[in-house]
Amino acid sequence: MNTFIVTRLILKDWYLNRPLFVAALFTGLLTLGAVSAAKGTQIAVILGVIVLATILIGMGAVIMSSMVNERRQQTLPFVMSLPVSYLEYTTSKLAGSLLIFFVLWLALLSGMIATILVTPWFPHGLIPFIVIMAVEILVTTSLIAAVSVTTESQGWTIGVTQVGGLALNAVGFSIARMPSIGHTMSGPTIQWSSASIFKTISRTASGKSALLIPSVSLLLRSRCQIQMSDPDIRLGGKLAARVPGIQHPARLNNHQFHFVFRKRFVLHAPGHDEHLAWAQMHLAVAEVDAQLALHDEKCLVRLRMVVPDEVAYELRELELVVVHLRNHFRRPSL
Amino acid sequence: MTDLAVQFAGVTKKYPHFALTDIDLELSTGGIMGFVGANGAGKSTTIRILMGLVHQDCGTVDVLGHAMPMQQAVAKRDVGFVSEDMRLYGPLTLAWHMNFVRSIYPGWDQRYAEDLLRRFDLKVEQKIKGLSHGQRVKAALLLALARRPRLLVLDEPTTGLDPVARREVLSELMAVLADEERTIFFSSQNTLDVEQISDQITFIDRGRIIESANKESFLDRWRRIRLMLPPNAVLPRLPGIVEVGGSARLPVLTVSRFEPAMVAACQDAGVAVQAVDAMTLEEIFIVNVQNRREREVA
Repeated sequence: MNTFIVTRLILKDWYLNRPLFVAALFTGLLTLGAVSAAKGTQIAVILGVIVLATILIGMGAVIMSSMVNERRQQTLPFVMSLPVSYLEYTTSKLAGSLLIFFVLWLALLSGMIATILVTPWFPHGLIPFIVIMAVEILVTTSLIAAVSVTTESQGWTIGVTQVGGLALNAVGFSIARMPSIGHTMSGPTIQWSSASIFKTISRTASGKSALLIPSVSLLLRSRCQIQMSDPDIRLGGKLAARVPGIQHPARLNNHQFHFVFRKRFVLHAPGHDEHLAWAQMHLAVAEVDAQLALHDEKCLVRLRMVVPDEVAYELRELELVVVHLRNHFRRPSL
Repeated sequence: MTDLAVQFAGVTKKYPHFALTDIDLELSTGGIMGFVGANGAGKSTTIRILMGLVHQDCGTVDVLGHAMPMQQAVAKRDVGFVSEDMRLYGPLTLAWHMNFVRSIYPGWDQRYAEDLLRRFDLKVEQKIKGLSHGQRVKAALLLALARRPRLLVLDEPTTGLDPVARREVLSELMAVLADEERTIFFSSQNTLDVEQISDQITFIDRGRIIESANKESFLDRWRRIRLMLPPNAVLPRLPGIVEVGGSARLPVLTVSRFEPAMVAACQDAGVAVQAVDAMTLEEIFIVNVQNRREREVA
């Protein structure tokens, strides 16, 4: 493992995610400030926790999908043109993404705990709940990272992010209803004694780890080669090459080949005004042609055509015209 | 110590709807190979295998003496790669990219990079997302060339460029050729570009190498012979006739193994030779591909 190149790639990802990181940190600190200014009212605390959790989950999804983005944005060939192996590239992606997220996670968690401890009107009993939820977010984000790196699929990454978010809500709800935690959340002291806290963390974390470990195993097997062909982008499509008048089909990349789930125009929109068109999978796609009709004048060239004003040497010959291909491709000599 | 910069031996890669079959290629150190093929012929797949980005199912690939893809990290220290579908980081500047690549390659030639900046009319402060397609290709080429690689792999770098940008890119490649130790593997659909800079040409079609030879050999061997056939005369049997066109009276032969003796043979058979035309690489490529495809169908 070339640690130098891995470090360089991690620093590159740090630099690329820097604006997002700063924005998330700033928003998080602003939220903490607002919560603090609200003097510990219950609604402010709930809103604050929700905003912070949203920042972490959102940032986690964005940072962890950087591997998918690398491929979608076609920067992967540039990275892989460097003296780096797949293992080093994957390691840098995983380590870099998790490191960036972990710093943000630690900063916001520390900020939240510090705000609760320093500000007199916050119930200190809230801290265990916040720590459990923060650990849950960390584990969920690690899972998203593993899925992103393993599949390099935006669809899978989004799917896992959404499922992870829903699971997080369920975990938060169930933890808040646990007597050992729910009853002490509004209390003035921190109650760490209950074994159920650790039991909860370990149970949910192990559930996600059950998905994480196979993902990483799969990753180690599948990382022997990178899937360079993006399912969403077909480079230099053959379809384009078959279109008359297309001089450089290699640049005409065909996007969005998922015909069932894709953005497309719908014909006869008044007949398709359902909010959820569950069973309707319209495979016919309406394409917009922005060209003026004047440009679409077409003529038909056939294999056999009448050649006027030609003189035959002999009666049995239908025509005399011989077309010689010359060096200049566009000027046949007659 | 081998003097081959690139060597493919029996390389095969199968996809559900495409297969690269039995690719055998050799490119000597200091050589310039033009790799020509239509869309979907297998050019990019071959180059990805060469760069270690895709693993071959069987066969061996050696790049600068290193087995690919296992030793790709070592091999790529001396390889510069630019492909048509390669993008740089849009939000970042060219200066950042130059610093990034320089930090990885100890042999980075800053003076040459600045020289290329001037020649390509690029501005280091400009963000990549603000560059035109031609400027992006030039930027990628700059990043590859300033590493001073021993092997330069270019996958359709001139595709989509306007004539001026293409001329600038090709001129720079020609300048690079002054270094006889530098090897270039260059794929393109534009046969004119390939004809300009390559000294070895390989045609690929439907995943198979259909012909590989040096450029002079290609251009010397392929001819169009225009004949005038008197009544009751028959075409002489000539070696290497790929295509017979024209009419019965004025046939046009396309031959792949032309020799001056063919003209004499025609005249001896009582057939008048009206002209012997040289063919462009594009014409050779098209006839070659069509001929192979017709033979496959037959």
